[in-house]
Amino acid sequence: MKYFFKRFLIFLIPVVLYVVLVIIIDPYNYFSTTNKVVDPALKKSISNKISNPLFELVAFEKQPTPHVLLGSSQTGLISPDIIKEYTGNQFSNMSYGGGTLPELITTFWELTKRTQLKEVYMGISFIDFNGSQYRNRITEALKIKNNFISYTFSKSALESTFLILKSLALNKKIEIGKPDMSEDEFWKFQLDVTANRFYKTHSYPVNYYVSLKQIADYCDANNIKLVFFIPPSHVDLQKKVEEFKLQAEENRFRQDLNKLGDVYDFNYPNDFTKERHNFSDPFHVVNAGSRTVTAELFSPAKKGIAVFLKKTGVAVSP
Amino acid sequence: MTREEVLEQITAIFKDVLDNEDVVLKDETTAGDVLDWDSLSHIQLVVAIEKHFKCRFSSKEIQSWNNVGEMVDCILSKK
Amino acid sequence: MIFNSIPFAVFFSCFFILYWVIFKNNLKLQNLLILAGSYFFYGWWDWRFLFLLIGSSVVNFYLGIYIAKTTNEKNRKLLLYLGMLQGLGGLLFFKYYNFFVTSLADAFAAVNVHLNVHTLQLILPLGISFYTFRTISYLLDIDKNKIKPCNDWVVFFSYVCFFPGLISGPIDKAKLLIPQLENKRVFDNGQMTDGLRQILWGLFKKIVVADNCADIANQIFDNYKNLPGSSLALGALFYTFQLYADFSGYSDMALGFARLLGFKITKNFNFPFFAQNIAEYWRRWHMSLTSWLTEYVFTPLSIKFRDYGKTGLALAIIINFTICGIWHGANWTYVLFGFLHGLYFIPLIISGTMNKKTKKGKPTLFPSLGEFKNIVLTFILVLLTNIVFRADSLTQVFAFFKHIFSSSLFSYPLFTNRISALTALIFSVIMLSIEWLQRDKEHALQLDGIKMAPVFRWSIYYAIGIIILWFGGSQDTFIYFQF
Repeated sequence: MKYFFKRFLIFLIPVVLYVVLVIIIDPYNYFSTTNKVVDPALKKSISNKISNPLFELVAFEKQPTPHVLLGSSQTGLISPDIIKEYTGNQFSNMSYGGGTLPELITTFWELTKRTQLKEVYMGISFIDFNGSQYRNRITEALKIKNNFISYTFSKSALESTFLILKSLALNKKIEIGKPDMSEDEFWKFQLDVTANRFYKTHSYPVNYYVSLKQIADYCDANNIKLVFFIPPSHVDLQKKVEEFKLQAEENRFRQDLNKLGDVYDFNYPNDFTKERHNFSDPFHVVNAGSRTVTAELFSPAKKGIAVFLKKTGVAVSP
Repeated sequence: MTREEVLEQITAIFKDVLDNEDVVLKDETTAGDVLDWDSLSHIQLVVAIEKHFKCRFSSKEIQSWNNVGEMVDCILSKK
Repeated sequence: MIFNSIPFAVFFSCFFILYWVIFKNNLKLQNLLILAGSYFFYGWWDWRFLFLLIGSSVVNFYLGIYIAKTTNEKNRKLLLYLGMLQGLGGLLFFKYYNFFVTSLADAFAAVNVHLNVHTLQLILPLGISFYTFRTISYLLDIDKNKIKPCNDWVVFFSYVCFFPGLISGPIDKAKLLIPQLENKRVFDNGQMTDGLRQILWGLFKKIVVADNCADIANQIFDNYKNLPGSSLALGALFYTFQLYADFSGYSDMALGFARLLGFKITKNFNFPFFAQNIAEYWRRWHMSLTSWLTEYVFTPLSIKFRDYGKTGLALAIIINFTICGIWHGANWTYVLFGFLHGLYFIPLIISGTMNKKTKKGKPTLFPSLGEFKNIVLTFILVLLTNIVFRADSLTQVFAFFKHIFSSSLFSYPLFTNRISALTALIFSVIMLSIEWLQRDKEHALQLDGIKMAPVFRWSIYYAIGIIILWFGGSQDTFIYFQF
């Protein structure tokens, strides 16, 4: 028996070493926010790519703010620092690359558990408003975050730890998920492949709309300011809606959001969305563009690149 | 009929039904010891034995046999 | 707590140390620990059904003793029927009551008589199909004088609820498990290591193969109306891999945990996908259920029907497998599933090749062409019935088959995520290849006969561990928990 226990304990040594390593490196700042054994910027550059939701959810739990932004990558471009310049309030941007509606919904309820929210800005585009997009990485991330063992032995922690070590050992930056194409090629790819994939599978998100309505009602009841905005996309992408004959659905989407709250609509043909220099690809604005969008949403001096729609509040029957 | 005769005769039946000339039966032989003697061939063996010895077993008797010896006892009890 | 969860890991570690270190020299205390641990394990899910489990143990414990004591044949039968009523009654009530009344109402409605039936909001008590089959076989075996009743209540209660096999089998026979509970277990280093290996293999099958296949199979079965036949065929394939990896993975873990406690419980799988005909398949798939049904359903039936030759045999088999189907749950899909498997036997009965087992020779690296043909054919037969098994209703079964067998079967299959489908497929193939090479062993990770340096051996364990972390899917349950 002693022999077995001894062998088993020896067998566990590498496992224990791994646990110690994860605690020291702490790729998602799970154990502490002040641990600087590894440069926090390096950690963020890797972990935020490996599991964007886990990284943001851990950060929010450590430092919750009553002001938040929710959405997908288009909303992710808005910088809380710039909002602070305009409003003085510290925002958390809880948007995820490739985020979906169910992820936004799950995140909202998770945040309500962490703090008393005051202000919620939701960036939702017509592409996100799709019943077939059911991927939800948040439930998984919450499960990982749930306790120290599931965090340490999660794929995210393992992968990030490995990549951080690799980056330290090779002493160079590791690029994750950077498209291997020229800017023009990528532009075309986003239009012809990515956009097609979304529009081809478009279906009206009945259940998600009901969930959004519950969120709107909750915000009403708890004095939370809820604002929707439809992020800008380049006119090339806007035209895709016609190509797939989804104009009626897109209008319904606008009206639906408007029933739930105030809406800033950036996504229509205007000088801003016609200008290719404002965009890095058809979906995403460049930094300067995102500053303009932020100003439109938060500064009193507006340039008028968004149409403002006051909440209609009509009872909905999806 | 003696035990040995019965054992000899059922060995012949087993060889025939299971199509296997290598069958050797002793009192303590069980289904696990003989290739292809399973629940499916078992019933064919029972039918063949009943026919050969011109007797009829009850359901309870058949299910109570734990080895070849008990089967032989049961056959002898019918004679 | 399921086997692959943190609560279970904590539970089992504590249990293991108490069992082997603290209570090592006291059989009675060890058994009490098994009993308490099993009830804790069961109560973690739902403590309410603990009363049913304990109640059923009490009733069967006393019935066992009285059946053995009673010499009057009539009284003895009466006690036996009382036991059957308790076991089957409980099972029928919880599992089949609603199905029975609604089917009855449907049948009457067909002849224009409209019954006003009440269905009940029943939750299926976890593991009831498994532990009820244990108690039933216990009483039947006592009645047939095959075993003596157990006089130690701790032993008997532990037999009914032994936690490795409580929730989804294997269905251990009393003559196998009770003697092991009555005698001192020895700590054997080799058994321990091999038990751990079997658990590791079970984890791999469950977390890497089954959970990844589940994602793909669920997507396809949920959207089967919008997908081409080729996708549906692949969906059936993924579901078949999932079902096997899930249930046999669970069984590997159950056997492994039992071995860590010094028990050898019933083997439940013997690499069924390498079977060369359907009879062999059932001798290798969910073996503890098949052998239970063979002993208590098929054998009595075949004896009754023995004067009708092959027809009688076929009838006994069809009834046996239909019951096997219904055992899984109250749904016509399970009835059809079992019935089809019964029908699959008919060609074997007619040709008389049913009980010709493949001669055991030294396993070769590759199957012969004939063997390969038989294996693939048997696999396809199984795959087709698994569609029935997976479907929610007969309507869905027919719609699914109609979609598969259309011209779109030959189109390019559509997936929402091609990479994850490919990953699931690759791991399924890896699992089957390793099991093929190890098919003459007790389980796929049994390395005892293989010469290799300990460093290499340990590297394999770590590698599997990393694969589990890296590629693991995340389902919170096992398929067979619902049965």
